[in-house]
Amino acid sequence: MGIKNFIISLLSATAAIIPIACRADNKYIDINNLYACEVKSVDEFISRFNGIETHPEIPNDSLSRVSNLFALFNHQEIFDTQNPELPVTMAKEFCDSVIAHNVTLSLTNGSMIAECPAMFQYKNKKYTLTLLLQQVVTDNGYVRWCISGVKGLETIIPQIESWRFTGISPVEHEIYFMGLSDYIPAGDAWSVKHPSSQPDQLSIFLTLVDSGALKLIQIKDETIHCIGVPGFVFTIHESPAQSNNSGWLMNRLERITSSQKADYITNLFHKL
Amino acid sequence: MNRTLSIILLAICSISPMVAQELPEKDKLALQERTKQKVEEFQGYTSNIANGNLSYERRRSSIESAMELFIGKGAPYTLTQEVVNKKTGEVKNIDKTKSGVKMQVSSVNRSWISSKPMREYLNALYRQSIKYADVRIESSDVVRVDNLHKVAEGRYEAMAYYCQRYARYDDRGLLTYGDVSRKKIKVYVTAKEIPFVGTIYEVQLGDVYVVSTKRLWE
Repeated sequence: MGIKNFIISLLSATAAIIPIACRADNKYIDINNLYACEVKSVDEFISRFNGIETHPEIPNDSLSRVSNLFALFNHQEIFDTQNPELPVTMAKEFCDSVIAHNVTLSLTNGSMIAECPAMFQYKNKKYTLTLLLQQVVTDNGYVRWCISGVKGLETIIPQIESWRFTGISPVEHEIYFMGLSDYIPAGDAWSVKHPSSQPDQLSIFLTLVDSGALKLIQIKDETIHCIGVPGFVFTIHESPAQSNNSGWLMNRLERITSSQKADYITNLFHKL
Repeated sequence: MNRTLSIILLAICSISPMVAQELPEKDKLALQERTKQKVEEFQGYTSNIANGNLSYERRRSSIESAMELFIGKGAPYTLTQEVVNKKTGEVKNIDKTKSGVKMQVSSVNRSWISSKPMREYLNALYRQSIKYADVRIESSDVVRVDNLHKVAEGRYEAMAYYCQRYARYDDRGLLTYGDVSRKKIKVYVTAKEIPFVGTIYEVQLGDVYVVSTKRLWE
């Protein structure tokens, strides 16, 4: 089926993929219908994505699976562009990939990573750091979220990225490195670490938090990156709106090869 | 390839981990239903507290009844958490004391969300019913319960989602303020063994979070 025919059949098959905002003047919002349509939780997103649940306005027919996947896109953010045919084509290919590979989403299989910008306080100043979290299953079967990465610490501790290296005098080994005391209390310890050793930000972060030097003020936002669909990565984000296309929805879709996925994850964990 | 990447790729490639100790589907549905009832009860009480047409006694008793629904009844509460020693595999229980349950409050007239202890929030709602001619709180029929997870032996946690309409009218019956807010409530479930009866699940509500607040009229 050609993309144009596909879109026409999809549009005629269901009104649910066209967001129906409450735009009538002075319209008293029908919270029941809109709230039933809203993807209220990540769990509900996963259930609709996996074909377990359905958008209440999508009829149960041969197109319902693909219509449900389409309804999980944030239409305003993905399709409201100058040339909507491009994202619609990509979205169709995405749906094809999900169905062809029988992809099911799960928070616990490592393919979904939460990214949360959060405000912290360090030495009476406020900074935004980004936390990366993943769900794990413990040995005794409990599901837990855990912090698997942090980025942005170089804004607090610029030495992390500094190439400055002074080292310690070459004769210090004769005096049991007593000269170290000149560096460590002076707050210049970073300049005596091995020039090629790169400390990881998560360890520094946990140490700062544990010592009380870094305090969490507020988690500002949450985006979930999903890397489990062959050929694609996408993010989901909560977008409450007075429409039947609201809640936890896909707000970004990117075509990507398997080898590029490794770069995507590296960037997610290390680039701001 | 760095270490983080290796860990993530390993996790993706591994077989779906065993999510043990899931509740049987029948119990899960019953528990979701029970949670829905608790949320609806809470919605009913908030509606009563704000309703100036009801007697003083009825509104005050609705505050007390609402507080009964929450973990610790609004006072600080203790949660037992399992801590696993990754080296020895030893499992220990530690108690964590948490401050009393809180309610996030929002308004279409401001961009920030603040938190209040639950009793303070309900008292403020009660005062509004005296201050304004007519305050109405209506809730959507849809209450969703998700993310039901076992967190320790005999203890489960879940999230409940609901939507509420809040409207204030002056003495001429004109709407002076109205919003629709979407909320999430953390839910604590404890399994209790009752002799000759079997397992019963006690559902208690926790902190309430605001997802969004929009004007009542577009």
